[in-house]
Amino acid sequence: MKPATGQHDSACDGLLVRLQQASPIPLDIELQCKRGELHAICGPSGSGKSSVLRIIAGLRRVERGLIHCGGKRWLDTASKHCTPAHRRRIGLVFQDYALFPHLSVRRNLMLAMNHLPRHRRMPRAEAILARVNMQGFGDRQPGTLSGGQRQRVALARALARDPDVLLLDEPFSAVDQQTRRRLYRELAGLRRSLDIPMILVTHDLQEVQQLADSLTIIHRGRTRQHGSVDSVVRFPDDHLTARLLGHQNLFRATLIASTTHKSRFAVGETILSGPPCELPPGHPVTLLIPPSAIHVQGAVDARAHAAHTAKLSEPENRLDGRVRDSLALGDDLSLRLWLEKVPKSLRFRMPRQSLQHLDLTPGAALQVQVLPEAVHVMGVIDSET
Amino acid sequence: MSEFWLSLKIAAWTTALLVPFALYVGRWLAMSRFRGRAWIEAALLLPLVLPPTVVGYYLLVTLSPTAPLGALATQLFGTPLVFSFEGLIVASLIVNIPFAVQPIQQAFSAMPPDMREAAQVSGLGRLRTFWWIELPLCWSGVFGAAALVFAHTLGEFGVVLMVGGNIEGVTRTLSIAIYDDVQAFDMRAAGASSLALVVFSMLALAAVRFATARSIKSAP
Amino acid sequence: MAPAGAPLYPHRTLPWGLLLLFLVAVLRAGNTHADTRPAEESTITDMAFDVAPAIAVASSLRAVWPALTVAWQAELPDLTVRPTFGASHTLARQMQRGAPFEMLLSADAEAIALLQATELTSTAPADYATGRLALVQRSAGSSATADALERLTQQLGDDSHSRLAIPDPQHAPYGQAARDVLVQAALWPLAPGRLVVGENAAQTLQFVYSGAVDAALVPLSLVVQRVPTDIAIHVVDAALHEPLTHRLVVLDSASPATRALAVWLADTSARAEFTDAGFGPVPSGDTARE
Repeated sequence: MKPATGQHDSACDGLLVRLQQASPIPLDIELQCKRGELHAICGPSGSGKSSVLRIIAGLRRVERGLIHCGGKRWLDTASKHCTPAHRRRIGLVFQDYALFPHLSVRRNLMLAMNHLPRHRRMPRAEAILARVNMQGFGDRQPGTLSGGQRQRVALARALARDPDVLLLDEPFSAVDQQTRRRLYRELAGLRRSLDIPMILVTHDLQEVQQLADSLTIIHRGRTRQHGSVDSVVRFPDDHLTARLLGHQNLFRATLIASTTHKSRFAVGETILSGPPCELPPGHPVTLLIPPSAIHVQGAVDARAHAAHTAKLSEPENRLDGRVRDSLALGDDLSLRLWLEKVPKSLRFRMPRQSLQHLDLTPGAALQVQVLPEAVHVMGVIDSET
Repeated sequence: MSEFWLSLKIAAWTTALLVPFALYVGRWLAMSRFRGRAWIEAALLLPLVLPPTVVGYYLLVTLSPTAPLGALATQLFGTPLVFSFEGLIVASLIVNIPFAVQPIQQAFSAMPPDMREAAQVSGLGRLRTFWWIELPLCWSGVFGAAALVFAHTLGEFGVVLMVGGNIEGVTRTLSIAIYDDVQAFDMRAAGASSLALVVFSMLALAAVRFATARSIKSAP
Repeated sequence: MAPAGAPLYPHRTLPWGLLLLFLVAVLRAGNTHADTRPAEESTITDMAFDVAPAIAVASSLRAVWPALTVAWQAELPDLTVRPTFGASHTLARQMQRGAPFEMLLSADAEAIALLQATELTSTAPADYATGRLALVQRSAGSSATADALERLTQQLGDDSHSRLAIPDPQHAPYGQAARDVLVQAALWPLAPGRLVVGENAAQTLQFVYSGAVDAALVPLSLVVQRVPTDIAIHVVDAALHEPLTHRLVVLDSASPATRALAVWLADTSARAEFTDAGFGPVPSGDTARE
């Protein structure tokens, strides 16, 4: 069925969502998710990501919107069509599990199966429980289960619906670290066999990098950037998105000049080289220096780009700084280096062994070198805060 | 003896008629948000704070066969509502509204909203969500409301006296009979009836506590 | 979250609730509540007394009612009524509003007048007794005289803390009579806090029994029979107050049973009971007609 507005998407049996509204919360979202793909929606609290999920589920209204899933038209405000939530085949995993406390685990699942004839429900419930490693828990009450177990049951209930889309609303935020890691592995394993689009709402980037294929960054209801996880995380479009992604080492700079294979930027009182840039000279930019681009002078660097040190014969992109503090984090050392000429701190982590013979007491002088081609350049946008 | 059965019948009918109404209204008040909601809630609480004589007076004036509403009711019921069993039921219903609506409204308010959302995404429509999810989760409130209405109606005095008129076999409830016995200095009868009333009320209130205690245990 | 074990859910308790309701409905059907309005039979000679009519009776007749019942049943067997006792005025107002009482046995001619002003009755009322006032005192420290007025004056004069209770002069005829007596004795108005007004005669009497007050003026009919041993009763001279005319009126819709009872009550055959019960004789030839 062709939608009344816009063109029909080629990934027509995946999920297509377009939402716009001004109030009660402003929204301007467009996202697509193919079958078998896990798409993450990431953003700070209050950015509207949970609302988006609920609108997709049909639990909230939206002023203007279009939602297609699995070839079915779920929402089309232009033609005033809206399938109610209970008619859509949604699998929604809530942040607080939302299991029905007065029903056993099995009954929780079977309640979601009215699309199946009665005699098929029990065996199917058992099958799904086995899939989430909860076989044998059918008669238990949700109140007697641990957090991780409840989350698995919640997932099982979502799958019991034979959904056209799986929606996960910060499903691991209420669970401890260890359980979380286990659940990541289980979900990663499970999703291979799921041939439906999956949307994961989270604010945890680690989760995104472990589970998702593609990512949408959302801020105050607007999509800021979307694409594959790798491309978005490594190459954010602007300063704000970089901050939302949790990047540190963002430096405001001005472009001096750019050639075909490198460009030069004025950063505070010093000059840094970076990759070629298409902006006009004098344009303000933000530079992102990822930890992988930093090389500490005198460190024993076992990392891949150690091979590049041979190329760094010129004293290019050398920055002098003083150690502000150093924190031991497991096998790594988290360093904060104060760059006098910028002036700003540089933060990065390195394995302890590579730094062990260096003086890292606060105030000690240290020199670092930044790989020019690893620097990421972002144009400054006026509307940033 | 007839007073005892009369009181029980009035209590049973009031409970049976009022609880479904309170279920509808209490749920609606708990789940909707609109301007003027506070006014409606206040109006429903009014019988709780007004003296029974005031409520009885207004009921008498409204239900009397000469008043338009009373005349209509007379046609519907066949007999005038004042000084009749049916009139007592009407009076009881009105006086007990706050006792029925409040606990139910609170129970529905206390239900986490994601329960309903979970029900919806599990494919349950409005009616099935109500029956399988909402009602069981709010049952202690409903049951408590029923027990409260029952106990309160058993002891209802002022309004019953004004609207019913203390007619033997028709509107002389147990509480009025106790009053009558005291007036006649028949302390023995008054004592016996009072004891019966106390026992029944205790049973009803114990049922309320039993129900609410269960809900505390089952709160998420 | 939920404990193990099955909690009470509507699906489980509702069937029992419905069963209970069904039982209640059955019980209700079995009770003859609908027959408050008597059938319009005109066979007076038939005296079909199968429905007990409801009648309104002044509460000052409460104490004498059992004796009266025995007396009339000697002449009119099978005649049973359902009396509702209360203040005459209140009962009259209720009847104006449609209360199903067929007759009013009032302690107050005014209450009768209220009913006569409506279209509910066209028969003439009949006087059936005259009320008397009694002084009820806690006998501790009682004086020697038998005259109620003297005793009253003594009590209120001697002890500056003693208190007197009377029925409400504004509503109750016996209250008005009590006030008349106090005015006559030049004791009205009492000092603040000395006079307690009871909501009705029975309550007024309770004040004395419980010791809240030292004396009370109440209908004689309330105290003429069983009285605690530490209580002294003295009859107040009828000349000190307006006559307390007990008048009855029968509604036009009354059944033959009620009419028969009215006739019996107004008749001299009832006088003996009334006299024993602390009422005075009806002033002869003086049935008011308004």
